[in-house]
Amino acid sequence: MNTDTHNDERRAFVQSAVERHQASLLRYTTRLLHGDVDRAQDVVQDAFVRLWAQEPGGVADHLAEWLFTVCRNRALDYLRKEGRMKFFAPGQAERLTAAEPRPGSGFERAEAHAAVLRLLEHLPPNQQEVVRLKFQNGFSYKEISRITSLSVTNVGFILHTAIARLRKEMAAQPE
Amino acid sequence: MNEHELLSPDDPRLTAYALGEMTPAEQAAFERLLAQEPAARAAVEEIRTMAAGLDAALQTEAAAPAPSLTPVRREAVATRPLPMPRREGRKILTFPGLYYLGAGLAAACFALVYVAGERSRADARRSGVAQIVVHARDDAATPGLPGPASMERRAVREAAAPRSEGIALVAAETQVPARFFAVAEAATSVFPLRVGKESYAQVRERLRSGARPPREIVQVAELINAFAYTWPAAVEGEAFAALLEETAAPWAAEHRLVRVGLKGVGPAAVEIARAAQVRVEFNPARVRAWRLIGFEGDGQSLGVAGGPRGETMRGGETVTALYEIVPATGVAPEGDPALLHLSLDYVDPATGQTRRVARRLESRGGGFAQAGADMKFVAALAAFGLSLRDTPLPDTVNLAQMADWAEAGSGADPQRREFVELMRAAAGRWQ
Repeated sequence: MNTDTHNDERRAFVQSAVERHQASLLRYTTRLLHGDVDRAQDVVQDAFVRLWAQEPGGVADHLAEWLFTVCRNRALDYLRKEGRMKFFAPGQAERLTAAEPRPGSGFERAEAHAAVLRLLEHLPPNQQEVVRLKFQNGFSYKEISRITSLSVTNVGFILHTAIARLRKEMAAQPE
Repeated sequence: MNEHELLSPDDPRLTAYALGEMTPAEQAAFERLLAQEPAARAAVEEIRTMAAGLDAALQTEAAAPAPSLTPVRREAVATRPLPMPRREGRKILTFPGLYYLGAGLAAACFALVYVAGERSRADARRSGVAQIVVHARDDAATPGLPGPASMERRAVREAAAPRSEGIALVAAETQVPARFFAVAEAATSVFPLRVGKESYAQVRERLRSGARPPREIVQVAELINAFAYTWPAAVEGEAFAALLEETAAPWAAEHRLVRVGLKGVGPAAVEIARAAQVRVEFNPARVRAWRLIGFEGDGQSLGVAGGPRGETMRGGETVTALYEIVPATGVAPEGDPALLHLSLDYVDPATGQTRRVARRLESRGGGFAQAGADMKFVAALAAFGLSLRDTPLPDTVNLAQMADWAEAGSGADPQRREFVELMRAAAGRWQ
């Protein structure tokens, strides 16, 4: 029957979205929520529940952006309600990065990566968020603008500032 | 012209250019500036190096064990969610037994962790009264939220078992479809008018071979709708015979079971209704909470309004739905005495006119022993199916009892009698 087909299609759409995006959404949302993994699970689940209400054709071409936007709004709603609207403090998120250098080849590179991540953690939260959306999640300025409700100009400015600061600090790293 | 002013190191266009975020026109213009500015070109290179470093570092971070949704959440998003009414508020629902915490409440439902002390869990269940606080709110106004707003229902851990020492309850927040709804939050239910029978055939086959049917093949609604029932005569001029019957839930005496049946009237296979839609509206003065039994997890059926769009029905087609109701306490004698109102709207294909079949049900308070045969059999199928699906029923109820209920509702019907035997065999094997 029609409803069945419709429902199966929708289920397949949501399931594949879960497969593709749950990890990145959980990472992103956990950060927004100061490392509150359980709450992040709530938020991400809620985003997929909401996805059921969307016409696949309406969101398929910007699905990741849509999901990140929903998660961000939900997470910020929650922080607002809890009066914890300050994002994570420097260092707090470090526990989440789990960037353990692997032994063997590429050890040095792993060291360098760990150094970058450490410096990243000391950037202001808005810069960290935009950097991650850009480099971890591969969003364009425009997409980041829609996810964060910042203007495209502002996104460009924040990213430029963040990279400039990281460059400076990397250069100042010993060795 | 002073290019240094145009291209200071603080110019965000350097990064936008380095990352390929410019339109072709912007890029061409910017390259003309860069051509005159070696320092800026060097800056672009440095930005690219840093970007590559960030990219690589953040990918290693992403390569760390990937977080994933917990299994119960995975399951919750695997089925179509129940739409929620728009509402903001806080409700306290009192349930007569802790097992109904386990059975869940509304779309917000609870995974329970019992930390049992000296007393047995069963003792606690008998004596416990659980309170659940439900926050329901609608986030339609969330700015920037793409797509139609939907709901958030946050079930907040607050469960108490006043008379059971040594028991602590932790209600973890999860979302599970199709369990109890508070009438104060969702007073209207719909159900599909067409229900398949495939599950019955599969369950029967497994049972006959002595195997326990896996939960995913057990669709309680399909079990119920695989059997023939007795129908009242249709009211003249109406295309459907409608049936409403209620009794005590055999697994929870203080709950009521309501059987809703509809049968298309007219020559078999002839189209008698288009865009047919059924609604069950519960009276908040008489009903505190309800659930539609047997549509869990198939993702299609929706416990609350907003579901099926309307179906075409033919003569002879039937559907049976079963509700479990938690009656309101302290009911005032005045006001609407009905538990619920049933309405079926459809378009008459002959005239194109919209018609409605409407009924209401008042509780007579009868016990399960006095229920009719069809009701008993349907209740037994529901309990049996729910048990096969691992949906919590009170653990005072076992498969043998369910077979008894089914037998009491079987009469001489060979199809029913066969199923009773299969239930008995299952009871012998798994209990």
